[in-house]
Order: sequence, then structure tokens, then C-alpha cells
Amino acid sequence: MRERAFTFGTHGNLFGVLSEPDPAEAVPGAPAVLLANMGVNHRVGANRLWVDLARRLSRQGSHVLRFDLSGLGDSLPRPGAHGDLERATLDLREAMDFVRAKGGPDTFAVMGLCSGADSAHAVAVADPRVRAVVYIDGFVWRTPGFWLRYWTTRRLEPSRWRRYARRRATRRRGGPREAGEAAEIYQRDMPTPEQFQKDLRTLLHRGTAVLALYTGGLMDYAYRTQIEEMVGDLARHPLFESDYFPRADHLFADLAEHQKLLVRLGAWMRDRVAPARAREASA
Amino acid sequence: MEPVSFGTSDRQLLGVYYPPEGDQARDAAVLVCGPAPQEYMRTHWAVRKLAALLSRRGFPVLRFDYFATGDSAGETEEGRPSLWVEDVGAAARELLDVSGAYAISAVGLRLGAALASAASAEGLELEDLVLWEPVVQGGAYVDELRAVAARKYSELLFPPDQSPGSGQLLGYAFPAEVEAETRAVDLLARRPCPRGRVIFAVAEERPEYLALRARLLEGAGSGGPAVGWIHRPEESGSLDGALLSSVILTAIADALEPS
Repeated sequence: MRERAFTFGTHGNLFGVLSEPDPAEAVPGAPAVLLANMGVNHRVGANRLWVDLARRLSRQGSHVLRFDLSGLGDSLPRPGAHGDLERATLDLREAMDFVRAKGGPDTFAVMGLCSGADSAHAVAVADPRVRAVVYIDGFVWRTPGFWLRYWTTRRLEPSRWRRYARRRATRRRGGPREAGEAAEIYQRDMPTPEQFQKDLRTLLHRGTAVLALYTGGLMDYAYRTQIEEMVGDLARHPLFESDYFPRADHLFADLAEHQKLLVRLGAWMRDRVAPARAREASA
Repeated sequence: MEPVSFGTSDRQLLGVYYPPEGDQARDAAVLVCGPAPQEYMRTHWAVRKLAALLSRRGFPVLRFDYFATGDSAGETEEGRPSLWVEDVGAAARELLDVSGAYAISAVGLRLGAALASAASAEGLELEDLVLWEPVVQGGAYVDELRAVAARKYSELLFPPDQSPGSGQLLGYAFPAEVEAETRAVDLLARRPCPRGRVIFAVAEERPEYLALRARLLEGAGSGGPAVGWIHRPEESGSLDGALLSSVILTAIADALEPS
């Protein structure tokens, strides 16, 4: 595996690091992986998550580009007036062109966490080169099953009472806090449930594999099978998978959970995505 | 802005070089040493802004990721202060090479200030050294990070173990030997010796800053570096303000310009 940093894109404004597999280990048909920003965190990812993931997937035989979207991290703003998702889609498409020009494959897996899932979804719908997409704490809405738990068993969970006691004790003690910790400053515009289901159907019927992962840090996601309630029959599509990390926080700050996520994504790419692409390519 | 790779084959470091803009040639290039690793992510934007500002003022600038942090090579648990002090030296050599400058000043933020200071004490030749909200004593710094972690993770249903034996702190591996090295950081014990000035850039007059300044002033009369003091109290009360405002960045750039 080797890594090199580049500036790229039509306007030369994008900054990223390309991880390339050793030629002997490159997996034929494996899509290249694109990792863009999680919120305003730059391409390294919170707790270095994207660096660790890029290196793991590259050692498994994939090209991986982690990069900053226009105006974030080390990427300069894109000229012209664009909405957030339109701009992110243009950036991600230019990232695909760049990987291809560097000798990578012409199919892609796009992975996004939190608002990064929004841009991953937008480009997956817009560009048929995207053959796999991962949403980590991506789209969510409260289902009847969520509300049932909310008003019943949720109040009986010991972890919630422990947290209540911990919060009170911590607030009494005062002390330093981390910058930006206090207020929710990000606002996401999620698609409606109907629009998301429609998009998901389009992706799956097009042959794009979808993996939806959720953590216990996402307030609106309360139990492992909530996604099945959210997307109905589509959850049973052979190209659709989901998983739940109830003990992980939104940014996988615990090293054991961080590691579990890397293993899960690595296995999905190795066992599901790459072989499917190889079959497709040889058909 | 140009990405640069440097270091040895088993310790490749990634940096971003900013060529000087305009026709105001400067004598010294500026090396920006950020914090690592627990405060790395939330200071990235401020470090990037400072580098771009200095470049617009005509300085060649390099900022970089220490070994096992950010985009540089290495697993997170392999990083430690003694290696990062070596990285400061490697980055300084790279900056001299890529810029063609004859001298270097350094700006160190938080732990980066301690690392740049240690590199200077170990013989790295610097013109000026800016200590930006410096970590003066490693023990207090680690205790502060643990207090931040306790508060931050009190909001989680399953808070990650942040105790000294857990091997992790604020999302990063933090093995016992790294903690021991970090706790051993002590700017009061080993004074930096740049040719020009040691300049503090601080939002509040913390006792440890005043103690370090007094210590440096003791040596200033006997051949030690002169001491500068940038205090921007309007930045205090909010670390967000200190990190996102341009006031302190502009003050640092002003201080580095020849009078």
C-alpha cells in the first residue's frame, strides 16, 4: 500500500490522499472507495477513522481516496453558486474522474458518516458509477416501533439511569469542556421517508449494494431492526444490509467500537461488494 | 498550497507547503507545529488559517502531521512526544529545502508548542518561537484532557473507559508509555533557545504561562532569547472563540513580521 496526497478537480481546488494497493494485492473488480468529510471534520475523520479505514481497505486491495469537499478542510471553495448537495455531488464526481485517471477502477463505493451520508446518497443516486454506498448514522426517522419503546421499555434501561446520574455529577463538578460540544450547530435536510425509499429502490434495482449502519449515539434510532420498519421490503433485498452498534457513540470514540466498524466495513467490501463486482465484470 | 511528503521510508510524514505570496520577501520561513493527537482535529481549521495568512504576508510556510497522527504514516498507538520532537526537526529541514529560506521561525500550538520548544532546546536553530496557548506541563495537560473526556462522555449511554489503564483518551490510543512521556513534558525545566524571541500568544494569563515567562525573562538578560507577549483577553472565556477568531492569528502574523 502506498499513499500520496494530491490537489485535483476541474478547478484544482480539491485536496485528498490516495491510498493505492500493492499491485500484487489489488482485487480485480473491487470498486475504488471515496471517503469525504464527516460534517466539518477534515478528511482524516473524527478519531482518525477515515485514515484507519482507508489503509485497511487499501491493504485488502482497493484504491481509496479520502478528500475534502469544496470549502472544507484543505480544499478551497468551488467557484460559482451551488447548493450543498449539488456542490458535494460535483466534488465526488471529480474525485471519481481523478481516481480513474490515476489508474484506479471506474466503479466506486462511497461511504459517509452523518451529513457525509447525505452527499454519499446524492452522488450514488446521480451517478451510475457508484456501485456500493454506505450510510453511517445516515437517514433516520421515528417509526411506530421507536415510539413504542420510547414510551415503555426505554425508561427501564439501566444505562439511561446511569447516564442521568453521570450527567448530574459532571454538571455539579463543572470543569473544562471541549470546543463546540455544547450546542447542536448542524442542521441536516434529510429526504422524506417516501423519497428515501424511492431512491433506495432505484439504487438496489440498478445493482448498487447498500449498507446502512447505525450507532447508539443516534437519538432517533433505538433498536436493531428499526431500519426494516423504515424501508419495508427493501430491507430484504439481497443487495441491502444493515447493522447496529448499540454501544458505539456517533463518532466511534471507543477504540473497541472503532475497530468493530473497521472490521465490519472491511468484511462487507471483501465478501459482498468485490465478488459481486467481479461476477458482473466477467459476465 | 502544495502537499509534500518527507521523513524516512518507515516514517513518512505528510505536510502542506504554502509558497510565499506577493513580492514582500521574508528572511525566515515559518514552521507551524499543531497539537497532537487529542486536540488535532478541532484545531485543524485554525492551523490552516494561520498558515494561509502567513503565506499571504510573504512567508513560506509548512504545516504537517506528526508520525502516527493525521495523514502521516503510522498506527495511532505508535505516536509519542519523543518521536514528534524529531518530526519537528525533519519538518524544519524539509521547509528549508523546499523554500530555499536560510532561517526558520516556528509557531507551536498547545502540545505543538512544547514539541517545538523541546526541538529548540535540543539544538534546532530557530529565529523566533511562538508559543500559542502552550502546554507547559504535561501532567496538568493530561489531567485536563481527562476532565474534558469525563464531561464530554457523560452524555453517552455507554461512555468509553478513559481511566489511566484503559489505553485510550478522547478517541485515540493512549498507551501507558505515551502517557508517561506526555506527563514528562515540562517547559520550565528545558528552556528553548531561539536566536530571536520567544513570543507567547495567549487568551488568558494562566499561572503556568506567567511562570514560564518569568523563567525565560531570567535568562533574557544573559544571552537568552528576548520574550514577547501577545495577550488577547477578548478571546478568553471560549476556546471556540480562540480557535475560530482571526484576532489571535493576525497578532501572531504581526509579531513575526520584522519591525
